[in-house]
Amino acid sequence: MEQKILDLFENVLSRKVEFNDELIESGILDSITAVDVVLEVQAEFGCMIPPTDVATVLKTPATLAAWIEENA
Amino acid sequence: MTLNNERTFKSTGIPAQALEQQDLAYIMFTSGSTGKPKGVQIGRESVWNFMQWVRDDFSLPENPVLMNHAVFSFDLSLIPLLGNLATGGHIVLNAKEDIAAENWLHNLQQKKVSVWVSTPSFAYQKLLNPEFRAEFLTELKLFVFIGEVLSKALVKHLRRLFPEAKILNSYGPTEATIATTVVEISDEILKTECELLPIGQMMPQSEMEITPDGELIIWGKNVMRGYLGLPKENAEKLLWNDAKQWRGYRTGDLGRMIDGNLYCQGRNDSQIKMNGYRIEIHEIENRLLALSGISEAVVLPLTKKDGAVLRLAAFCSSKLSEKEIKANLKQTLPSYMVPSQIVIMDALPLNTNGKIDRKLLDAQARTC
Repeated sequence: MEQKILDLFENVLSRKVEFNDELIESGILDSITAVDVVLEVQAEFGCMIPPTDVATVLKTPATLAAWIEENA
Repeated sequence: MTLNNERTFKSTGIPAQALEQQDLAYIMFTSGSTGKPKGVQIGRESVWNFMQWVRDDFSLPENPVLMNHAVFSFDLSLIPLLGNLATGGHIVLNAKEDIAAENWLHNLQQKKVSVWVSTPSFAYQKLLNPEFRAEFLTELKLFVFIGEVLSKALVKHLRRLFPEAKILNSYGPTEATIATTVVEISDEILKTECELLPIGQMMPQSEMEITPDGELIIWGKNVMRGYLGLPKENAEKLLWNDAKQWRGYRTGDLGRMIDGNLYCQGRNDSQIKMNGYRIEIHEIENRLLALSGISEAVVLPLTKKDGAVLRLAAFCSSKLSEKEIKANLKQTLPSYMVPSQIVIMDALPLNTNGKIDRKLLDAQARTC
């Protein structure tokens, strides 16, 4: 799962991220690329991150992985 | 003593409207490569021509209700503002906090907004919102996009969410009065193999010239009077056609015609568009080089397949850390101009011609 998530980010962002990188705080994700990630998660895992939860779910790749484990 | 009685009025013999046409309508400031904004002077005749065009060629519904999301210093805001004046419609004005509010789309629904005008990025951000669909925004009949590259991906999403709505792609620099071309994105256009979407047909009283090296030159009534107090820039950018009495403006945008459609594909200088913002890359590089401890700096826009800018990456040889550099830049640049990725290197790589190897840097930014 960890590798799958990291690949997803690399695919969408064209850059490598670490599993525990702060994505939003560090500016790696902005509001546009966050939408790209949400759409990609939906395409790959079939589950839609609710708009109100995007900031918390996409805090780090690890938080996204945890959310997918629970919701996919 | 009555002053009123002493005042005399002399007729000039020129109808009021013709006299007014000699005046400026507005001056709007836009990004400059030296870091100093340039004042774009737009005449009344240009605005009048623009309003007639919007009324006739933008497929506006009857009694349109237009929404505006942009600040008034961004000329995109003039499309809903003037569009509503030209058609006798309504405009829904939004404060910054309204747009950020969770119930903003409810507001659009209540006000029966029928025309959406925004940058593609702005609409893209709304895609996740469950209310952003035809079943909720039942009056929304038309999307007008301008300000940056419109991607096929966004149009496809909108087709799914708003199957009946028309989608217009419009193009034009501030220097040529807000917008110069427009096209409705039909299913046929969407189906073509080309990754890019066309920018459409010219407005009346204007023509597009494509120079042998691909630069787009806009001729016509819509071209600005000039930059305020900048004769050198005006001499560089403005042209004059005596026969037609038209000004021409060298856009710096590169384009070509394919099957009768006009396409825009990048710039011949370092100016880019990201999320609707016009950014001069040199301006960021100059700020980086002004920091003590930075000896070399290059800023690259990394793009997606469809040409949209994904992010800015800066490469520097520096004693400062990434965090320190960002903090420093934030003091002198707006946040959208601060590169989200900063790569510190011992020395910037050169290609065989001795120039900085941008291809290598681009690849490096994508893999670190």
